Amino acid sequence: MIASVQLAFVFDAHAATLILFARQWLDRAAAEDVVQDVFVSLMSQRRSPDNPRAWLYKAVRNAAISHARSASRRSKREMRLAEQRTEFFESGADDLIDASAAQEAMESLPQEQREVIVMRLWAQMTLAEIAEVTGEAVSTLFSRYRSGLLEIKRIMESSCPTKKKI
Amino acid sequence: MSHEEENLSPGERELESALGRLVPSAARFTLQHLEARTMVRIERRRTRIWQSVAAILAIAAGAAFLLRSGPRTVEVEKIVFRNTPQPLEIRTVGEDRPARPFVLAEGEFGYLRMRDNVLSRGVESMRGSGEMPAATQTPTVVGERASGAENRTPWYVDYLFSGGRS
Repeated sequence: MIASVQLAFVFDAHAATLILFARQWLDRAAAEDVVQDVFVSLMSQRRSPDNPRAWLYKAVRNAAISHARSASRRSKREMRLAEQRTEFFESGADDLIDASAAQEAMESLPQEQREVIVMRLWAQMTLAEIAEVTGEAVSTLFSRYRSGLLEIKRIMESSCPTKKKI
Repeated sequence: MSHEEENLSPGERELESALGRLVPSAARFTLQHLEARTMVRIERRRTRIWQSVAAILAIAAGAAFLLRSGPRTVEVEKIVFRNTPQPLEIRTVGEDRPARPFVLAEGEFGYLRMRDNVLSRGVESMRGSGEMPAATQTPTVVGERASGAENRTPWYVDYLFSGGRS
């Protein structure tokens, strides 16, 4: 089993980002469920994976996609989404970008671009590690990443024309 | 960051940096909660293992029972009465029993010798054999007094009290 110290470190470093990552497919409650299940699976493993971060993101991705594909769960997800709207990010005083605007921009992105941006920006993963998770070529991922950034920039500029352009 | 980042424009890098400063919403579960769920899962797995073992044993026992109870031999005990002809010769048991060898020495174990004589030759062997004491030629019953011999003790009383030595 993975050592408890290492587990605590992994949990503190990646739990929130993993939930944000799972939210690319699921609502907040389902994303938390999926991340919990993945952490429990990690803790139940007899041998720690070589790269726990890549393992976690890959497992969360598979579980979230599987979860989202279920028709019954999808209807529940829609009901939950209608009932509650939780934020992707915690608002801070020193934020350079409005958190809710960033969330809106993120939500408008295609799925493939969003997951690359989340793994790159908040999980601090290299494109090679992201390629290990998604199974895509690095060049494809970079292309998606760059397109996503440009799309976010365009959306934020169009939604806030009076704000300072980045 | 990898070499692909060099292809990003300064505006894209600035946007990347600003987005990266946003903090994802914290998880609403703790590591302790995950550890508890992990313990539950491990115990459930152990229980399933034992349930599987019990189910396999039950199936094996059932299969063994079904295979054993296929073609079975039933033994029926019958009593048959048959008419048989009467035996031509009816022999009395003990009729031709050989006389018991007389092994006792003369003058010793008088009672036993007398008993053996009675068993082998009958009561008539006592008559005139000289083994019966002279005082006891006329047997009397206990409490009965022989005529003309009121003060005499019956022979068998003396015989019994003498330890069989006449």
